Amino acid sequence: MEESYTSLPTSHLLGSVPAVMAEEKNTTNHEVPAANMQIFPPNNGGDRGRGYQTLGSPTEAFEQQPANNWRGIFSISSYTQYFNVDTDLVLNRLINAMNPVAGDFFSKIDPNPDLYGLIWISTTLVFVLSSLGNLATYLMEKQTEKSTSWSFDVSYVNAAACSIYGYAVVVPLAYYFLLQYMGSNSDLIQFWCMWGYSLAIFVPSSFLMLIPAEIVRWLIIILVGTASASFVALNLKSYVGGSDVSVVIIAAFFLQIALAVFIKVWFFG
Amino acid sequence: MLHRDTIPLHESSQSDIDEIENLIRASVQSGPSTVPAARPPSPPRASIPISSSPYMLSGIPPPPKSSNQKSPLIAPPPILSPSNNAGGFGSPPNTLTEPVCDTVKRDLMRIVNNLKQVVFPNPFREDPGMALRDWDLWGPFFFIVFLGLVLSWSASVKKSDVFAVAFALLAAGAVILTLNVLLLGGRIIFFQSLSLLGYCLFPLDVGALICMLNYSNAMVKIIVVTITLIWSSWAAYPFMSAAVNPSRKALALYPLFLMYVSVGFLIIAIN
Repeated sequence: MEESYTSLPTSHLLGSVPAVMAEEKNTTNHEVPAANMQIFPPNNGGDRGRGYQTLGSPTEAFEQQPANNWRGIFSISSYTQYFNVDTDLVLNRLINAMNPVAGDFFSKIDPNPDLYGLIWISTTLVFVLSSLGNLATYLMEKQTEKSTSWSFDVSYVNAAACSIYGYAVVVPLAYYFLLQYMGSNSDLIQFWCMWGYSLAIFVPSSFLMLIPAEIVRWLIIILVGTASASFVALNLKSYVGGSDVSVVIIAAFFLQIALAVFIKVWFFG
Repeated sequence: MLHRDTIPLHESSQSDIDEIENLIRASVQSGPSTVPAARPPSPPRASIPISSSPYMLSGIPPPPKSSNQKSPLIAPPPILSPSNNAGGFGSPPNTLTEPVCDTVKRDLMRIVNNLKQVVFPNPFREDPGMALRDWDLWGPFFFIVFLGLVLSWSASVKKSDVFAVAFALLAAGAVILTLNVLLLGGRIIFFQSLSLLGYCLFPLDVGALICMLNYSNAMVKIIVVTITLIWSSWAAYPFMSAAVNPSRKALALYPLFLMYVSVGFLIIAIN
């Protein structure tokens, strides 16, 4: 019976010639299974991540595959694309972040936003705030009454970690969803990158805030806060482009100023 | 000691070793005829001999054999690997039934060896393949907990908070540093790196202990902590810098430096 032969699935037998085949079935059955990248490497990208990373592009085609299925979340190789920076590039971006008036940060990071800056700048800031905050409190108290002794308050570490990590992670996330809702373009990784680098200016200013005079500290924090906030606002404005989201941009400005004031009041007050 | 087998035992009351050995022998003998046995089947025996093979492998002289001792097991059963003493893998009868102090001693020796390789100058430090080939996690665990305890004892208030902060900082810090190197495209083995970062805390442990015993003088504390911090960084530096691309070396080393400075600051600042 020829029907029984034509109904056999033969598309996997690429090298074989089916013996009896109706002409019209020939073209439809003869499809190469679409170059399924998952067949090639014997192990899925899921267990490739541990340990043996290879730099370089030939594996990137395979590494896209694990990012598409749910297992990509647990594989390190799907996150290496966000850390594809060299030392000089990071230093370059840091220096650009100190410049509050040029609104071109997004264009500078555009092809390759990195999360390295976000993670390590915020971690540095947490450490600096908790250690220098203790030192500043001690110096301030020493000025008013000479008999205070040094005491290290561990809760500063807790407060610094919660506030800085919370701010740096939640605010860009909120802006991402907000701008998506409002219809503008938004890219989460670029937002995280930009807000992360905006915190960089607080690190050297914390050293300046050790000066045990209240007026000086307020002056410094207002200057630094304004610089950081204008960096955020101007970059956001140039990224979003439209004028209907100006409320959102002004809100970003004031959020950054609020962070600066909080730092002053809690850690150096 | 714990061996009842100087007395010939009944078949029904064998000890653990002998059950396992019998199972192995049975599987070898009852294997398919086409597959040659790994070793010739042992002759049937009237009494259960003392198997001195576990003792041969762990390097401890066997106990004096009894008079009705037949020849010991001809060769170690095929699953025992006559390799270095670091293998717990292929030798369950070996490490299951050895005395506890042997196990503890073996682990302690491994910790001391790893420590010597990592923290003190030796010619193999530059090669991450050689150093810490036999990594373990007991050493790092002990050093992290010890540092947390010392800091907690040194603190006068909020002792439990101090321990929590120190432990979280060190443990999470080791994991995050390893992940950082992996994300930057470096080549390291995850647990080997955790192990190395734990062992590099040993100088800071020493520094913290000295600071605890001598807590009144701030200048001494600063000097001691600075020296031990430099020592720790020197110990960890070759491993970390060899793991990444040279253009990203500073990116991988900066978090290491940050973690050690923060731990050092914690040691100095706790009063």
